[in-house]
Formats: sequence, structure tokens, C-alpha cells
Amino acid sequence: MGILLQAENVSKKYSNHLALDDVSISVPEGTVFGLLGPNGAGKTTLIRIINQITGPDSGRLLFDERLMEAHHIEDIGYLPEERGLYKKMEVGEQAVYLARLKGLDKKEAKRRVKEWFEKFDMSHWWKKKIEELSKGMQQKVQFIVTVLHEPRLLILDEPFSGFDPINAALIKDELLELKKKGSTIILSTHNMGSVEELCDNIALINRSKKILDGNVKEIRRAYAARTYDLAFRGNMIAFTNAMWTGGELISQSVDGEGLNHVRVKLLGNATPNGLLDSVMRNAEIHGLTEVLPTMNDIFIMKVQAGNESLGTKSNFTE
Amino acid sequence: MGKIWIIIQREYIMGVRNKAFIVLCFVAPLFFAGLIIVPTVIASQPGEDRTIVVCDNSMCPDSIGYAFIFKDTLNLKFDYGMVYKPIDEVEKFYRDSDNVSVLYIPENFMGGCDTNYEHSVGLSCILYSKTEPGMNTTNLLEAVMTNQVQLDILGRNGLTREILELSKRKVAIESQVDNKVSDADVKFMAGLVLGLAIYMYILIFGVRVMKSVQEEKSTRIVEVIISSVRPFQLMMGKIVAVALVALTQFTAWIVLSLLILLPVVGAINDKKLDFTKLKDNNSVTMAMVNETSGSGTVMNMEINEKTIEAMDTIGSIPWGNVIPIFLFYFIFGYLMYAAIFAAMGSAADSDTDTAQFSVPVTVPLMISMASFVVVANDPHGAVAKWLSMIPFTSPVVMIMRIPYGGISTTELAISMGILVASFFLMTWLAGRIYRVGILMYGKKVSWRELGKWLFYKG
Repeated sequence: MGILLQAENVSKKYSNHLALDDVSISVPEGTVFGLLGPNGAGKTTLIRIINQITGPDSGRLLFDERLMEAHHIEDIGYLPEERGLYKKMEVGEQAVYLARLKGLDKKEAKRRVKEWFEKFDMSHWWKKKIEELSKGMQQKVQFIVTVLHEPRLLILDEPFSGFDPINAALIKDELLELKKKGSTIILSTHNMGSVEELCDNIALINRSKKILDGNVKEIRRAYAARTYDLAFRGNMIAFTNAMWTGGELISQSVDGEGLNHVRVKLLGNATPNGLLDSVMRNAEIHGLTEVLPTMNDIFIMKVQAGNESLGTKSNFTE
Repeated sequence: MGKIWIIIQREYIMGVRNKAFIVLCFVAPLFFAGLIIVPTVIASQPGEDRTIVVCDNSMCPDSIGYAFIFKDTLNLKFDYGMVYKPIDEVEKFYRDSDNVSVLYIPENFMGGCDTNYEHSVGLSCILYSKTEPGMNTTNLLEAVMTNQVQLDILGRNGLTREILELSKRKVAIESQVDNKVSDADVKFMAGLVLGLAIYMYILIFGVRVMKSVQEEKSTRIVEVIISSVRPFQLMMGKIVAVALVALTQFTAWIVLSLLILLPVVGAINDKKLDFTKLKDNNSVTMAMVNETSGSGTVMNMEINEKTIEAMDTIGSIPWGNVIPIFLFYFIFGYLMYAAIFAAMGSAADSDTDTAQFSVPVTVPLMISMASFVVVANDPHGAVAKWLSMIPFTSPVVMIMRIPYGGISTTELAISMGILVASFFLMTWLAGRIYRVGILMYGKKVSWRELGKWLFYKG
């Protein structure tokens, strides 16, 4: 599996602020790559640089392991966060127009638009004007326009904002389908749930610097805090007495069937096996699972740590 | 280039499919045709038949009286049956008849035929009618009587109409430029019309470019588009397409105006609705006036000569040169301003912002239009020369000067060169502002900020 897109040491400065500071990412072909970061971190700038809307001050971009050129934009489909359509234009002709700008000829563009419209059950919208459609309907049109020319790289900036759960699920399925067919996807989002669900790799950008990147599973494991969820039947007091040397009780609850659920953080050299050993005599174990931090936890932790080290509060804006 | 072409196509199609465009295309010719047709049709309608009963109580002898000076026209009949009866009797007699008016010449008219009468008081008659006689009727009666009174006063003072006409002669200075007769008025008008055309064209369609850019920005489609084409391509595609829309509109106006006018004129001619009657009416009036004065034709001939002279002057304007020069300034003036308008549209977030940015852009245009008096007074003066060098004013000012002639090829070439160079410079600058502006949301943009955008790196 090769690297489809690589940004090397990209920096970009606007008149009085640094939007990107020496950022490098590499996106393997056929994967979903999450581009994360708080508002104003520089994600949109990086995306615009990849789309050749603006150029970097320094650094370079490689597409398919070759220096990126103008014609490569035809291999990219871009759904910006601030997206819109021509209000007075008919849905069908607008989709065809945008596909032609991406290099499809008129006939082929028409054929594909028809195909997608049928797939999404919206053929009867063809002659409607955009202003007659609801926001969710417009979003569907925008999504179709983005993927219509079957780009090798899809860049989606907050693709789920504005969708109801049903349509969000529809788009999610469609993305997984595209990935299966070999498309590479860059997903910029604040929705950490979708990151865990969809992304293979991520890069976290804060205050114009990349502060974290890698495989999602590996990152979560790396940030695992030796915390375990344990379910048992038995005496709670006897349980806490038994484990006191090796662990710290974080939370506890009893469910309707009288089963105790506890979250334990291991201390010192304690291991999960040791924990089980010490409590087994007093309790009937029903399950033990390691608690991995969510991407949401990691995001908040990393961004806050980064901001605190700079002595400021988080959430600055552009 | 292929993508610019796709953009031009879309912008053009959307432009001509726009309701405002369609309405303007059809309404404007209808309006102009209406301006020509309606008065013609109205004027060519034969008026209502009416009998004018003349009642002369001025007690003047027939030889110098005013009673018998009227002659029947197409729809006016003069009845002299009760001419010397007292007004009460006449009025009673006709009070209830429609389409009958009584023209009452009172006792003291012209001082009751006092031969020493010198005052202009008491020169009023009354037209009694049951129904409105119309302005044409009263105008005709007034014209005939006024003429007769003038003649009368001249006669009483031992003068004739001819002497009066002689005394009114004017000294004419014929302006000859390069041994050709020149009429400054006509040239002034030609310059003004051409200048105004460029001014209106730039303003209307420049603002349209600006609105279209601002709309793309506010609907947020622009980021999708410029991920496929370069911002500069989008901007130029739009500017060219709007120019083509404008040309289509003009062509449509000309074609539609002809299509509307020709059949109507044909219909008028077929039905003999007509101009002949109108002419007849006029000529009867003229004849009546002429008959009494004997020399009205002098006036007529003068008017004709003036028209012919004006036509000569229009013909003497070197249209073969003027039209290409006009097109040149027209196209490059528009392109340069349209680029600036596009940049302003890209900086604006809302309609109110567009006003803020468009006003300073229109100022040089307004200055060039306002300078027309100065330019007409002295087409080769310093003001005119400078304004036709400055690229922001030259499209309008130079074209206003062209009909006067006498602009050297060098001067013209320099002005054109500056305009073309400025077009490239302005388009380049506008492109730099545009590419930053279209992606700048929710920010109140100042002129200083615009300046900074110029130096952003691609």
C-alpha cells in the first residue's frame, strides 16, 4: 500500500499570523485519514493547500509519490466546510457543470449524475432549483458532486454537519463503500465518534503545529492509562479490601441483576493478572476489559496540554 | 482555456435566462417602440367632427374683421350662418348640440376695431362647447387668429409681414474645419451619446459582475469551484460572459425594436391610418396661416435647411474611424472596470459592503461623464487631453472628443496604450485581491486590508 498524498514540512503565513508551522502528514492509499484540531488550528489552510487553492510558503506536496501538479486537482474531490451551490440553478445542470469543471466531458458527466441521483432516489429533483431544496437535500447534492468524478483522493471538511442521523448514516456507508473500492479519504472533523468509527490514521493539529499523528488504534493504546472495567458478583467491601495494594477504584455501580461494575486503575507494577489473582477469592468474576481512551479524551488532553504549556486557554479563533 | 470556456457558457446561459434580462430585452424595445408608436397612432387618429359657429360681435367691417378667416379642415367645419347675431342668441341656439362650438369674438376685441388701437389687452375670445373640443381645435383657432392680429397691427402701422421677417434675420457664423462645414452642436450630441453609452455599459454590467461575484461568495459555492479552476479563470470567465450577455441584450434590443416597429408602421400604412391625414391637418393650418401672411414658408425652409445641415454634419463625422475607436474604448474600458468591480465584489460580504466598495470605483466614471461640458467647450484643451490619457476616464472622455476630430494618431495611440496597459495591470491586481477576498468570510474588510491582500503569496 503506497502513500497517495504526502505533505512535507508545509508552512504558511498570513500577514500577521502563522497558519501552518512545519506540518508534515502522509496519507496511505485506500485509507481514511482524520485531520483533527480545534477551530482555527490550521486544518482548512492545509486542506486549501492540498487543493491548490492557495500555495505553501515553504514545504512541498507529493501526490502519488510525485511532486503535485496542477492537473492533480482532477484526482481530488473536495467538500468544503463552507459549502454552497448556485441557488437559481437547476440541480441536474449544476451537478453536470461542476463535474465538467473537474474534467469530465458533458455526456459522461450527465450519465454519472443520473446514476447517482437514481442511487440516492432523487431523480425527480433534476429540474428543481437549489433554493427549492431543504438543507439536507442540498448536502446530498454536494456530496454527489464531490465524488462524481471518482477522485482518487476525497477531502471532506465536516461532512456530517447539517445532516440528520439517517442521512449521516447514509453518507457514512457511502464513504466506507468508496474506501472499499480503493478511494483515499481525508476527513476533517470535530466529531470524534466518527473518527473512531471511520479513520485508520489521524493527525492532530493545534495552533498551526502538528502535535500528534499515527494509527488510531495505536494511538489509543499508547494513551491507555492501565484502566480496566471489571464485572463481578460478590461483596463490594471484600473486593476493595482485596485489591487495595495494586489498584485504585475509579468508579463503581450495581446493575439490576446485582452485578457489580467497577473501573480500576492499576498502580505501580500491578498487572491485570495480579488484580484478578487478588480479588478472585472474594468475588465471582464475570468479565475484565481494558478501557482505551476515546479519541475525544486524547484530543482534549493533547490540546489542553499544548495550550497550557503556552500559558493560554484553549479555543482561540482565527 | 477549456475550463474558462465552460465557465463562460454557464455564466452566459444563467445571464440570459435571468428574469431581469428577459424582461429588459422585451420591455425596453416595447417601451421605445411605444414611445414612437403611441403618439403616432394617437396623432393619426382623425379627430371628432366638429362645427364651429363663428359669432363676431367686434363690430369690425368685413374688410378687417376676424369672422371669415377660417377655412374648413378635415374635421372642423366653420359655420358663418349667425356670424353677426348677439352671443346670447347664438349660444341658446347651439347650447344642446354635441360637437358644436361657438367661437365668440367679443365687442372689445382689438379695441372694437379702433384703428388707433395699440394695446395688447382684450385679445381673448371664448369658445363655448357642450363637450370638450380638444387642444388641437383651440390651438388651430389661436394660431389663425394670432396670425391675423399680427398682420393687422403691422398693417395699421404701415408695415408688411415681409419687413417684419426681414428684421428678424440672424447672422450665421459657419465653422469650417479643414475646409469642411462643421456643426459643433451635432458633434457635441454625437460625443455625448457615445460617451453615455460607454458610461452606462460599464456601470450597469460592471455592477452586475460585482453582484455575481458577491453572490458566489455569500452562497459559498466559490470554494467548490476554485478547487477545480484557478480563481483568475473564474473571474475572467465571468467578466467575459457578462460582456457577452450585454452584447446579446443590445443585439436583442435592436432586432426586437425593428421587429415590433416594422409591422406596426406597415399596418399604419396599410390602413392609411395615417400620416397623410396628419400632414393634411398640418398643411391646412399652415395654408390658413400662410394665406393670411403670405410668407410662412420662409420659416419652413429654414427648418429644412437646418435639418439638412445637421445630417451633413453627422455624415461628415468619420464614422469609419469613430466606430472602431468606440468599440476599442468600449471593450477595454469595460474589461478594466469589470475586473475592479469583481475585486470589490470579492471583498464584500453583503450587499451593504458592495455599496461601500463600488462608490469609490464609480467616482472616476462620474467625473468623466461630468466633464462633458468642459470637453465640449474645448475638445483639445488641457482638461480634455489629460482626462483622455487617464485610463479611468479615457474610455468616456476620448470617445466624446472623437467626433470633433483633430486628435493626432500619436495622442490616440498613447491613450489606447495606457488603457491596455492599465487593463492588464488592473486585472492582475484585481485577480490578487479576488483570490484572497472570495475565501474571506465574516470579516469587515477595510481598504488597508485590501492593500495587504495584494502582497499575499499565492
